[in-house]
Amino acid sequence: MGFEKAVLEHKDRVHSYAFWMLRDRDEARDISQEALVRLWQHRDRVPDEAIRSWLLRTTHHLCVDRLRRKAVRHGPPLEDVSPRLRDGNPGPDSAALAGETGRRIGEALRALSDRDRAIVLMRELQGMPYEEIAAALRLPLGTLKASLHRAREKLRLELTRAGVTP
Amino acid sequence: MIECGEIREAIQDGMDGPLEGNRREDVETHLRRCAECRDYREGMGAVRAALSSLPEQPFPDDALAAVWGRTVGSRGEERTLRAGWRDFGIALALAASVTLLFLPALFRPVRAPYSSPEIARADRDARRVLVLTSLALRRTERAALEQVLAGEVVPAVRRIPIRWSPSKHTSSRRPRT
Repeated sequence: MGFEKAVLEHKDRVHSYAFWMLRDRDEARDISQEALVRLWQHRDRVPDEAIRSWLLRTTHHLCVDRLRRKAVRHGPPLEDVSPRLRDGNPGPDSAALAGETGRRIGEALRALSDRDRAIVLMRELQGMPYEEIAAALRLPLGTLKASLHRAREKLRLELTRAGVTP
Repeated sequence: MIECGEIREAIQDGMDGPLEGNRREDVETHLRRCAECRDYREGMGAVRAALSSLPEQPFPDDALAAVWGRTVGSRGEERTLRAGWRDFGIALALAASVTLLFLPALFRPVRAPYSSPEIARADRDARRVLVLTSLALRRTERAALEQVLAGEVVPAVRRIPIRWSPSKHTSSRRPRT
């Protein structure tokens, strides 16, 4: 797969991952750019079938570095959470509702550790199989599975507490 | 009897792929009589639904343009730069060849002054050779050749009688006196 094709295929995935890890649009954009440029620099060493996990691993490490350097204490403004819904011109109530729900889910995600949040995002948002997540985060499968189960449990409690889920 | 903890682990496994026959039956049997585990399964389904409702964040177009600029765009610049140096090297080599071609003539003793027709013919022949040479070159090569020739070679070329013929292209024999 050519570099250009790989970028077009994975750019939104990388950006979404960075955004939901950091919940900061500017930083997500910077990190996504950096990850894609690094793919270019390592393009001779990354086989086609490993591009997705390589990109998400690189994005993950960049996010974790950024989180360590700068404590992200507050999420983005409400309207930043649901740009696609705003662009699609839904009614103001539904946009506000989706934005509020998105904000609460984002808050619940932030309650997880960086690693658990990464696992949940890769599994639930990106739909990656266990093996690929384990390769991306360099975790044993057993550890990965235990972390995912624990993270889901915590999310269930957080989302119930936030009124997102019953 | 299977405990709730084991069932809940199976419920999560079932979120990621189909359970094997016996395990699936065990879960279904347990759920029929355990309301808490039914709530757990419902809650897990809601978690998944909530996460899947998160809006995708499209990578901005201007950020994509910046990526192209830092990657495939820079490759084009590198390629142009390399090609420029290559062309310049070729031009220098050609210029050196032309210089070497005429260099021996510079050191031959001039035994007699040349007549005006001989000088005119030599000048004409030399110009034809240079024109043919420059036509074979690219712009950058031609510029480099002209730079070299702008120094000492051109005056020397003007003094050398060149009997140019299409078969030999260049010849620097001295004229008969």
